[in-house]
Amino acid sequence: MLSYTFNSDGNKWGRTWIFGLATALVVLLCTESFWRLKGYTTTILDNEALWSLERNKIGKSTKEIVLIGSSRIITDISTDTLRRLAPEYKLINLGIDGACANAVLEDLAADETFRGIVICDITPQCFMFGNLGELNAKHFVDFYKKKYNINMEINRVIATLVEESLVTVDKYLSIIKVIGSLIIERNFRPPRYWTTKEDRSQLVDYSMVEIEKVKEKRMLNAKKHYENLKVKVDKAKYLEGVDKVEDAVSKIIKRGGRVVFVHFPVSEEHWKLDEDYFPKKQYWDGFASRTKGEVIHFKEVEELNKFNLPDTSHLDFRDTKEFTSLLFNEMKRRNVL
Amino acid sequence: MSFNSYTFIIFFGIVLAVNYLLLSLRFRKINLLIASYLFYGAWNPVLVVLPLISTTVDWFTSKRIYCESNKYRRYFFLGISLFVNLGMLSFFKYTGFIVKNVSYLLELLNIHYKAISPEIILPLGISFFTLQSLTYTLDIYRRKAKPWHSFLDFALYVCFFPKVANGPITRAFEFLPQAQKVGQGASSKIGWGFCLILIGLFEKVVVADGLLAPVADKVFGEMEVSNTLVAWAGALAFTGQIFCDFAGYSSCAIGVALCLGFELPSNFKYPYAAVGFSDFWRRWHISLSSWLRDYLYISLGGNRKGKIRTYLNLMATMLLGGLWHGASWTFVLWGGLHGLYLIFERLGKKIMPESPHWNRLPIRLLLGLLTFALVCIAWVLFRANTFEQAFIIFKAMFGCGLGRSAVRVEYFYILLTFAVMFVMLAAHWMVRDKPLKEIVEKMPWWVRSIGIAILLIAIVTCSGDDRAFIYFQF
Repeated sequence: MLSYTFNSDGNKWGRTWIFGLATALVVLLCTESFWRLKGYTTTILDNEALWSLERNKIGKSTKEIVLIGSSRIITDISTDTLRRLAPEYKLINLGIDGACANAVLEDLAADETFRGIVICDITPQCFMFGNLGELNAKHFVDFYKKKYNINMEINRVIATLVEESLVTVDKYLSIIKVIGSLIIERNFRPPRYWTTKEDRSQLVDYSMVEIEKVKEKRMLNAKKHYENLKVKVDKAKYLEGVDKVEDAVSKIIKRGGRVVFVHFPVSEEHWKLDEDYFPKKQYWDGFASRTKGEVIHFKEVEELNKFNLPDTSHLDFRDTKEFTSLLFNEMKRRNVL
Repeated sequence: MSFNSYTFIIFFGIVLAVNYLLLSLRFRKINLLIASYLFYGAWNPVLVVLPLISTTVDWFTSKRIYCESNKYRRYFFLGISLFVNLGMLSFFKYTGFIVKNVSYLLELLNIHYKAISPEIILPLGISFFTLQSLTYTLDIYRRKAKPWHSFLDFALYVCFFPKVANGPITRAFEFLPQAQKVGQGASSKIGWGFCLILIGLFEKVVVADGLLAPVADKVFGEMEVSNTLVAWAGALAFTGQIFCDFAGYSSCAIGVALCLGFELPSNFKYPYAAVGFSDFWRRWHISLSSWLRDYLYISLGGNRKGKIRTYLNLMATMLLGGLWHGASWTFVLWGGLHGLYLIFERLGKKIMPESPHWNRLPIRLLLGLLTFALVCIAWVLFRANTFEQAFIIFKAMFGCGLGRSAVRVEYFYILLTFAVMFVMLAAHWMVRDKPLKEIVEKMPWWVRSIGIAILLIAIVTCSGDDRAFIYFQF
């Protein structure tokens, strides 16, 4: 190849390319080693294509567990533990950070072939606002239905392999961002405290951050978020939302599937905030009494309420194995699994 | 399949290897044709039927146009070609737009009719391959060329994978003779071809997506911009992003084609160093602007029918050029604004006396900066989702607002945007009349090596979020 590729036009392209490629390779290897020595680890870029890759795994079997919901289902469930506890089931992770499960639940309900078990992380606000703005996960569903194809699938599989192997390709460590950090913060970006695995679950290591700062920021954001929603709270909208969710649940159950709604644990201060804006009695219990699905609230299961939530809302990865086992036992007790 | 995807690297590697391994010219063409349809089908397998329709219809109608001596029969066959190509384009691209506007008009007339907006997928590259295919029919209709003898060559011309999605819009009779010698001499071009691919990927992945898109997306993603600096940063970021995105794609397309032995026309010639708008359109998306000039503006009468008609033709061409970019009034207005720029430039040239002073560097620099600023303003209309948003950004750009903007862009990124655009402008001015190939080939080999290494490292380490090429939506 090289002989006819590079020898011909007298412009020494052959030499140019060989030295260019070799230099780039050496620099990239040094960069990779540098990041690894500084404690950075590989992570998978979670995006619509990766979500679609998971969505595509759904088949016709009743032996499928589909995780849906927002960040809590991604971080709090140890997928390895769940796979070990329920080896006969295929585990599919369709959680979406920052979005409610409504659109995904409706998509599963509309999929005539789906007959598996849905574990749905849901909070009361989702009944009212799950199909609105940023909380709406519809763009993921639309991407899967309208844009996802075999080319994207292959591309995503290769991308995952590359991202699993190289720290350098992590967009968090893009040289632009690193230079930005060096100028603004006068330091390198700290290593990520969360990493995404190939199955889209996340491991969060809170020992790597100044927890008080993270906690403060999260509470501030949560309060701001709830304040924004407060003005839009509407009982009719809530009932309409519950009906819509229930409609999806009925369709899945009718085909032989199961749906389990889980309110994942939050810290006491976060719970207080939740109660101020969306009281359990008014919203959660109302829904629980109506749904045909199974309902698990962390406040009603003592064992699920014992965990430390470092940022007030998510579990540290060290606790997820135990939490998953306890949740699994609770589901087993209720004959869901 | 996008040039900046892993699948394309594998696909191109296989196509290139097969192309070099095959000795028969015919088999090489078949290899490229199959690859082209695979490339198109990778996006949506069913819709490969569209370039196939264009190919078949234009192949047969052109033969009939050439054979017919009767004027009306020639019109008839030309009409079929125009109807099929422009019909497909209109149906897929403008149905929703037409339905929406008819509903709005009826509403104005107090007729309450709520039409359902159809969900029609915009096929990949339809705006490009239809125009390309039409050049064949139109050139034969104008008796500029004879029908080509090989259907295989023509099919390859319409769907040739490096250019099918986003151009450059290649003229049939520039491409077809090259199909007669597929692969011959390609080895001498491959070094430069790969270099162009690398430059294109750098423009797209690093500059457009990594450096500029985050700022442009933030500013154009909000309906509240009150800070002048932020608004200008957004407008400048998009000005740079659209250039690097599209020029990056064109560069990759030309490079890929070159590796396979085809020379495609260049699409950009340092447009931000343009002095005046006719100069800008000779440097920006050259293959489209020359298509519009040769097949639309001249067909409308060009400048042969008096001053007023010239201005009207110019405006009509630019408005349609705007509409070609997208089914939205913001694109039409963008085209209209450029039409106005061109008209005022012509008027200005008539009023201003000829003088050697105009050619002095400081004056040319000033005129160049003015051109750039006005082009930048026009891009706001192009990027804005609605007129309302464009108005908000214009208001912020010219409102001298220093208050806290609702759009939070870190100062580092604002400074970065200004720095990138300064470097881009300076680079365009420094090499404005020199072909890139000439510049690169004059460099010592080791400088080129370092350049290649830098580009490669930057592509791997500086990528932003994955974004499709902007022109894919057109």
